[in-house]
Amino acid sequence: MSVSGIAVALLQVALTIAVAPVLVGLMRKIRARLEGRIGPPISQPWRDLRKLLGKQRLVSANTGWVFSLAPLVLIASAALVAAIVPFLSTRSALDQVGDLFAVVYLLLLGTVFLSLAGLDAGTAFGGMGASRAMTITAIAEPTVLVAIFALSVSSGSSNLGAIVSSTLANPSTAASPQSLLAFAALAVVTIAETGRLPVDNPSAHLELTMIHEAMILEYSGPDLALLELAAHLRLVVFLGLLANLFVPWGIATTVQPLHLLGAAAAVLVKITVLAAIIAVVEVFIAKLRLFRVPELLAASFVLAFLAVTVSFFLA
Amino acid sequence: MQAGLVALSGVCVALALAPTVLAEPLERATTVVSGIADGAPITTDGVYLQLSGIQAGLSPLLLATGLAVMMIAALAVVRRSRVRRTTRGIPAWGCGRTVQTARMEYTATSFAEPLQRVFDDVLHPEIDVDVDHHTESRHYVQAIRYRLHTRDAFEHRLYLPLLAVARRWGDGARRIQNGSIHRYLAYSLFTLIIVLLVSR
Repeated sequence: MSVSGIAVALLQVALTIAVAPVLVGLMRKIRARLEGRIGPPISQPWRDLRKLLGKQRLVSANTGWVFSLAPLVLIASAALVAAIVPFLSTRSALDQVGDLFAVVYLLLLGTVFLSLAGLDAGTAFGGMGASRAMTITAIAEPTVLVAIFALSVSSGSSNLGAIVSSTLANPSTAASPQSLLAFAALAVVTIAETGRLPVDNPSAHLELTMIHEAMILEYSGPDLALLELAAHLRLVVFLGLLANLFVPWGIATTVQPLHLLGAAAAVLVKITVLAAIIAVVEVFIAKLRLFRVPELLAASFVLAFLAVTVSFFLA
Repeated sequence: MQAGLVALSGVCVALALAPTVLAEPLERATTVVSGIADGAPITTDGVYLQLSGIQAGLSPLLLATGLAVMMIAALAVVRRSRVRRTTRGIPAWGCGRTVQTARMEYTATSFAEPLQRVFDDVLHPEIDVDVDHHTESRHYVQAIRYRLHTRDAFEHRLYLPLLAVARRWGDGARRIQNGSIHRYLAYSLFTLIIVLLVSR
């Protein structure tokens, strides 16, 4: 674990935190423009966070320690994943610390704590959100694991740096059937886990239809700021993971500052393109009924399963 | 009882943080049994775990440290925010319903209900909904009872049929060998004849 490697990891965290709210603002702007509205400025999520950090914290009488701990765990797990995932360089210091499975379970840790926090206040809405989130997670998680398995079979490693390097070494694997199938499966899961349409409506404010918003109803002030930032971070981390696992070109294979600068530009372009695609598609689709969501996730599981099967037969 | 739970979960947490301490004993155990391991399956330097078959590494200790560092950093940012005031004891959000009791909380049944509905075909839950009406008018509901019972799918589809097969097998065996020495001698005689016929 070298000093420059740790510097790269910290740089990734700082970059992700700086970019995440802007990216969400951009997605809202694209959506607003396509719907014929002007929409809030792109920097609005940052302003919201700043405003929330200055607000008073209100804590319900029924809550316990889980309620206070959950925002910290959620933001810490998202930030740690941002440090591990090779956004800038394949020579990240934390590459041997956690492989792709560890990354998935770190993200799951955040989801579980958010659900616990939703239950902790003892309100009907928090319980409803937690129950729905866990239902979706329980169906999405097998897909993630199977899709990752397909990726690790084709590159012979579950370490993110190794997977990215192997795709860089053999560019044809990026267009192989197992890679495309795994990409499709992970894309569906990304949409489910980050609470985008058609699984959850990020702009929903009606209690009966919410999933993510229902769990954070009780939060206010700085805690809410942390949760919002964590949600933005998770979106960027998922999109960055998708982008760099399947289209790794542009990533630095060294830790030289100039290469890192180029890699930052490349990954920003990739994430922005993915986010813009999601924002545009969201304009044209409506939220699925809750009990139709499992069908979507089951389809993604089938894709992931096919990816594993294909990678064994084509290996 | 709680001491047992705490002790077991303590062991789980310790192993989760430092699985490297078990790597060497497990390795010795696998090398004793011939034909299982060709070389060490796991290499470790105390902090990192490295699989030798494929390129995969993990360091639970550093992951936990990283998580703790990030949490402390987040806490520091929140503490530095301009307002330190925290108002405790406010009522929870009830969508306009101000009085909330423990009866409105999500129970285990209601928490698992969506998942149970998704896996309806596998779990086959038995659901009973009893609605009592007021005697004056059928339009007014007096009480609703909701019961949900899920039979263990593995027990009913796998273990019980397997046990039944084993019991039938045992019953058959008991009929064949009932403790009579004459019967056993007859069996050996017949077996001998069959072996002689086959090997002729």
